[in-house]
Amino acid sequence: MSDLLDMVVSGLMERLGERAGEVVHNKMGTTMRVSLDAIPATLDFLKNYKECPFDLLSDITAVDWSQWEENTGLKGPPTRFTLLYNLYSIQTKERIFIEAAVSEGQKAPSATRLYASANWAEREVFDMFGIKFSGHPDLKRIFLPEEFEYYPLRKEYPRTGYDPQDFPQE
Amino acid sequence: MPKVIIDGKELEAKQGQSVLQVALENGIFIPHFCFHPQLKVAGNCRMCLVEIEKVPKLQISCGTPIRDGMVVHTDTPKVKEAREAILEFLLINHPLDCPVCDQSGECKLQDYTFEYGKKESSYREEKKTHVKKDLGEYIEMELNRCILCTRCVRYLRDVAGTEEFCLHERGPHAEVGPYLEKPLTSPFQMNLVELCPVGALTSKPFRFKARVWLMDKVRTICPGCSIGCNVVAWSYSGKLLRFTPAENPDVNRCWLCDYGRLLVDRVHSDDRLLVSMKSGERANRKDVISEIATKVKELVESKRSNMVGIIGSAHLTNEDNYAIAKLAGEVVGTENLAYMAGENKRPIEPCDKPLTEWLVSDDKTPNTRGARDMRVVPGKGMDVKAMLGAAARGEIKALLVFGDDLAASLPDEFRAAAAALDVLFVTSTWINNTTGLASLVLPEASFAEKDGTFTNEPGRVQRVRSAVPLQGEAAPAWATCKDIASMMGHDWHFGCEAEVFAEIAQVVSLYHGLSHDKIPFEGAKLGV
Amino acid sequence: MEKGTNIGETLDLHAEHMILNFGPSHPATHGTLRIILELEGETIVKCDTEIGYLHRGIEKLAEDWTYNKCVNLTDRLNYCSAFMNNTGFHLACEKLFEIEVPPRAQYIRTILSEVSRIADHMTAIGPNFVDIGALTPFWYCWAIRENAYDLLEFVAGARMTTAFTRVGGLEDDVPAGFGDKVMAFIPDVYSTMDEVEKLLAKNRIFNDRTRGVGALSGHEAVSYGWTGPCLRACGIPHDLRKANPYMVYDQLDFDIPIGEHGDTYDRIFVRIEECRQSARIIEQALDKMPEGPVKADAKQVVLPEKDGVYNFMEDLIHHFEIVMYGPKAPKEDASYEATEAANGELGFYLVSDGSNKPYRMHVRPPCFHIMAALPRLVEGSLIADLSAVLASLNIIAGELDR
Repeated sequence: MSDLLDMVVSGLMERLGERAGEVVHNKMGTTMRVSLDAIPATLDFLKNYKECPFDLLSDITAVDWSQWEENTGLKGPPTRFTLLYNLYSIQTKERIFIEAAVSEGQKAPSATRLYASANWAEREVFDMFGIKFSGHPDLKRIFLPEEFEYYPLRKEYPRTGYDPQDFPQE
Repeated sequence: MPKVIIDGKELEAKQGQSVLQVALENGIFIPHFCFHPQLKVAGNCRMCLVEIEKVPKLQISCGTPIRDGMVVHTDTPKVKEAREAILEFLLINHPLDCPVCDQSGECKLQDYTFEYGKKESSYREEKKTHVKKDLGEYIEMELNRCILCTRCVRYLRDVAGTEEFCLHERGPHAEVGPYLEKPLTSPFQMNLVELCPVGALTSKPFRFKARVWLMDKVRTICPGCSIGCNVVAWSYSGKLLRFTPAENPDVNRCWLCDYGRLLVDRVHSDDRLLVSMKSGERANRKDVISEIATKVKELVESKRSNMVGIIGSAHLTNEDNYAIAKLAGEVVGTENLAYMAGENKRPIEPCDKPLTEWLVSDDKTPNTRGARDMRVVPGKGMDVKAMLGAAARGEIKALLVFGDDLAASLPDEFRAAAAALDVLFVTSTWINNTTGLASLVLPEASFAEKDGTFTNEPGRVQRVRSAVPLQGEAAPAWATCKDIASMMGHDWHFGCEAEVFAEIAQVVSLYHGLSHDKIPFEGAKLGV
Repeated sequence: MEKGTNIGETLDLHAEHMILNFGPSHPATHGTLRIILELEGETIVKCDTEIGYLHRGIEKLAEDWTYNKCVNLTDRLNYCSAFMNNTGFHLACEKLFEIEVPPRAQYIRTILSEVSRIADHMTAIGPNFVDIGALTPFWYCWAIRENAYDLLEFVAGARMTTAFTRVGGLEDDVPAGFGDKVMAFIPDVYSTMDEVEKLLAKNRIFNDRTRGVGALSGHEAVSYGWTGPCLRACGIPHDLRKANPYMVYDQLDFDIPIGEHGDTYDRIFVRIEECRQSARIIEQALDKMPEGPVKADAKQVVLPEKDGVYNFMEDLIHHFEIVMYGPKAPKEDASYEATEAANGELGFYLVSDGSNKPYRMHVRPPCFHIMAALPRLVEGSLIADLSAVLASLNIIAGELDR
């Protein structure tokens, strides 16, 4: 991890206090875990950090950990989902990931106030996982029809879907 | 309790155990070929070599008994080099048969080479070959692939009880094979298929049917006899292809008998009954059910319930038998409810004697005990033979036979009864003389298409799971009973077998507290 | 009359807003997207987009396919430049598996990525010209595109569904004659780009149709999550090949074209200039490409050579194990690799659970965020501007919807 990113991370930890979780260095890069309600403060801090403003919110995605224990035999994260924010600083070319744990039914704070790219990214997370974002101007499905009842990227949704007419069930 | 430290983990062990046993029990995997938990230790493959502190050379973990305070390492460079070398030697004469070998996908040699072996070998000479031997109609022997672990020799001698194999010659000419040029005679010879770590011994009936990694598997119970051996049913594209043993230390350990294994062919045989029939002609299921319901209703309403006879089956699941008993008791109100119970006098508890002493049961039905628990037994009414006699005399007008082939077990009585009955309703999985004599016939789901439970002779409730989808118009007996009951005005709210079992758990006191999800893989022992 | 004036108001006509469906099945939408326009005369008052017509559940499918098989899914993301998607995905895999790809494979990947980039840009601006009405330059672009796909077909066997990379390198080495074919391809790129520029740069109609149309400031573009040529047209010099170099881009010499106003004109010309720079990269890479293997030396991941499989026991066994079950990734790991695809930052996020299939595969598609800004770009302009803007954004539905 570069010195600049080091500075950012320690500044962020100071700012969030106990809402900041651990910092993970892996093949993704640097990931910082924060609590869900700290997301607006985190994004605000990172966007306006003078030496290294993270002005590009590249992506928001989520992971459903409900099958993790069955597949690996290891204990997964405490909540069913984790949200992942991918932030990039064009000026300094640094990338940082912010991870927040979301349990089922919990509403995540929307980042649309800070980044315009959050609008569609959050709609996609809602469409695929069913995670709702509070404060989103127009949270509706983006890929699937409005009447669709399920959240396909959740692990219990079968690969060939529920409609018996389209695919024979295995 | 002696303690050993394997790979830095402190483990409790029992006196007399080998290092390998302790490691495997605690989730530390050490590769091995010739070791098998049910066979005597041979120690000839040398694959399980480990490094033990204070001992200069590597030791075989299967043959080294533990001592308190032993420190073992299974992942040092020396051990890794040894494994690579052993695999290189084993592969020197191994034929490039993977594309045509059935063992591909579950072959220990393949898996260990991938995991622990070298990328390239320096061997450039010709490979040794052997003459193929004919072992009969169940086992295919391909001696070129044999790695001389001698598991087959030890198994046939100690576990199967028939010493038919030995290690011929010695040194580079060593070869396993039968003493005499004769096919194998043991009724447990097909266990050799799972025992052999490579494709030297493979199953002839299963040969080339499907690749291992393409098949779906489900754990279920063999329907061959009252022991209720646990099996894994392998199927591909909706066809049941083979049974392999599933481990259950209290029922069958890790063995199966040949008779049970060969029952897979019955599921897709040509004589499967797949359509509903009325008086020998193809009919609608609904019509058949409505006709039997009408006839039975007529007898019930005219206060002649006891003129209806209902026969359950020890081949059907608990759920099926419970529904049959419920039909007889609540809906029809007849006392003539019975089934053909099997009888076994042999010991069937797992023990260290050869398989011929305990893995055989005279009762070739899987659920004699279960049907009795579901109260498909004559209370005040008649048993099967008496019912057939009464039918022949005209005292029973309608007979419902679920599942059993009575024309085979009681030919004369059944024929006489069939001739005299007003209506004979039969559900059967296969076309046989019983279905030929019946006026109303419905296809029954086979053991591989059912979900439910069997209760084996010692009283263990074990889960049966369907391996292939229902064929043709086949339906399980409980669904048929539900349809008949509903045609007679009784609505049963069973959506699936689990719901039937939930009611069983409430009504039958011995089954209290059980449910489909709660029954573990090893089954639930009743009365415990 | 000024542009955008409502004729209804001036002449006191009873004018209503019209809802026009620029619907998924339309030759000018470059893929299946739906744009719902509220028009006042010819002015777009409100613009709403509906996407998802090409949603195939690629991320869900990837959870059931082994790492090598998933490359077939990536082909169908940005189907015009399939090779770049293959590369991006397998770079993320190699990061996850901790495998070092041999240099020859990296050079070939770079060359073919740039060829795909040229193909993609030509596919973007060619139809863009057609939508505006400039039919002649379309054919020049299309000729280059054909040459690019011919080259890809020569190497990979298919024009668009290349699926040429594997975890640890490439499926196979390039055939003999590759260098000559590439050297024949490059001068055409330069000459065609010059011709196209000559035809259009000072053309009055072209300038009227594209200058100032669909303009977005750099700051706003970044906020929308724009990357790639669209962002560079707005004046922001951001290119992942220079900022966070991957493969062999740090050893090659090339420039990043930057636009000024972020309008359609700039987006088109940034792409034209990028094609020139891509040709430059290809020339250098071809020159520097070393001899050597194209697959990494990882026995549990990379398939052995065919003659080894037929003749040696170990190779046969490894072939079987890799094909039956697929290479297994390290447990409990995640990787993210972003490459500069033709449209911008194409990122692949992989979470592995120790098995041969990804536990989660997510694609960060560049078009997705660019499309989100479409209403902002066209509201207030004329309907004719919509086609020009939409085409210049280079929206590929495969990548947008996944």
